[in-house]
Amino acid sequence: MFLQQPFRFSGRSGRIAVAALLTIVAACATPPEDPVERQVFYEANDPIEPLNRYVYDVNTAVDDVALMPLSTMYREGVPEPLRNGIKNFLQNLSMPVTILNSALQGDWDNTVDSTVSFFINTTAGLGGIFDIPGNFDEEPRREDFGQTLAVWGMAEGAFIELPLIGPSNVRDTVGLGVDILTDPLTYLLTPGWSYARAGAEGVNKRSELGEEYDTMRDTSIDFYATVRSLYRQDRDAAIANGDADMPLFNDDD
Amino acid sequence: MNLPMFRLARVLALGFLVLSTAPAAADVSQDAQTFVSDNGDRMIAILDEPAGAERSEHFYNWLREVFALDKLAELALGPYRQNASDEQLAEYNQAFADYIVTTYLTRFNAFTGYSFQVGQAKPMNNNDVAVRTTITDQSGKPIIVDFRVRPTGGSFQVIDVVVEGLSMLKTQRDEFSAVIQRKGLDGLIASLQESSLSQ
Repeated sequence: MFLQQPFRFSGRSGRIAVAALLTIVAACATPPEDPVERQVFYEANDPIEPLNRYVYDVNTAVDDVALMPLSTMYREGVPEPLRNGIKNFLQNLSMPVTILNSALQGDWDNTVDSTVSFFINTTAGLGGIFDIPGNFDEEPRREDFGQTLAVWGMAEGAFIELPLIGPSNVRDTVGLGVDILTDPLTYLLTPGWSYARAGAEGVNKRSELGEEYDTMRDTSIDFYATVRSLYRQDRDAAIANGDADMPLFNDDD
Repeated sequence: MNLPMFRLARVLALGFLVLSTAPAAADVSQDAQTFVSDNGDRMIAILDEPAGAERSEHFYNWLREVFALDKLAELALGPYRQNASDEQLAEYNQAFADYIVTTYLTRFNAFTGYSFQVGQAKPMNNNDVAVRTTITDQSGKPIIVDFRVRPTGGSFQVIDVVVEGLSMLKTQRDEFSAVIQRKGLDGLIASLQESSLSQ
C-alpha cells in the first residue's frame, strides 16, 4: 500500500475533484452497438468527447481573447531577428529534456547531437539566443517522455483535450508530467519565471501558427475533429522520427 | 494549438504546388515523378492567372483531372459509405468536389515564393506510388510532402497528399466521420455546401 491512511477528499478542493471525476465518468461513452458507428467510435479514440469538446471550447475562447491578440501583437510589434532569438532561446531551454529522452530511447545519434548543440548554443550562442549551426546531417529532433513511452511500447490511450495546453492523450499527459519533473529548470526557476517561460512558449508557438492556421480554422467544418486527427498523426510522425508510413486505406473499408 | 495545424495548412496549400526537375528512376516510378512534376507546373501557371471566375474554372478542371476526386470522396466518407443511399452519394460527391475546390483555392492563395523539388518515388503495397517532394519556404526550411498517386491506364491520379506525416485524406476522413456522427450524412452534405458557398 502506498497510502498509510485511507485517502479522503475533504474541503472545497476535494468536492471539486469529486465533481470533476463524476463529470468524466458521466461523459464517458460506451461503444455503440451499430457496427459502422462502432468502427467510427474506435477510429476516433475519444470516449470522453463531450467533455473534451467543452474544454476545447474554453481553450478556443481563451485563444480568442488572449493568446491570439497577444501573438498578433508579438508578431507585428517585435522585429523578426528578435523573435528568432526568443524562439532559439526557448528551444534551447527544452534541450535537457530532449537529451534525456533521446538517451532513454537508445537514440545515441540524437543524444550526442542534442548534447553538443545544447553546449554550443548555451555558450557560443549566448544562452541559446543564437542557433549556432552544428556539424550535423540534420538538426537534433525534439524528444519528450511521451515519445519515450511510445518507443517503450505504451499505447496512446484515449484522446484528452487539456485545459490551456490543448490536444493530448493519456500517454502524452503522463509524459508531460514526467517532462516537468525531469526538467532541471523546474527546480532552478522560481514559480514566477516558470510561468513566464510557459507564457512565452504559448505566445511563441501561437505566433508561429500565423494566418495559415486561421484560414484553416475558418475553412474547416469541424475543427475540433481536425485538430484531434492532426495531433495523433503528428505524434505518430514524431515517434517514428519522421519515418511514419503513409496511411493506406483499404478501398473496401 | 501547435505546429501540426500549421504544417497541414501548408500541406493543403502546397500539396498542389509541386514542380521542378525530376531525376531519372525506373518505369512506373519515373512516370509518377514526371506526372507530379508536370502537373505542378500546370498548377503554378493557373495560380498565376488573375483571380476570378475564369481562374477558378481552370483550377476546377485541373483538379478534376489530376485528383481522383470521386475516389477521394469515397475514401473520405469511410465506413459510413455502406449506409448511404445512391441519391445521398451523388449529392455528397458533388458537394465534396465543390468544397475541395473552394477550400483549397482559399487556402493556398496566400502562398508565394516557395520552391519545389521532386525526389524519390517508391511503389506502395498496392499499385500506388508514393512520390516524395521537398518544398522550401522563404526561410529556407524544407518541408517533406509525399504524393500518393494511382496508375489509371496510361496516366496517374492523386489519392493523398501527406505533409510531414500529416495525411490530407486521413484528416478529412476523421473530420467527416465526426460530423456524420453528430449530424448524419445529410448534415455533412449541408456543412460542405455551406462552407463552399461562404468562401
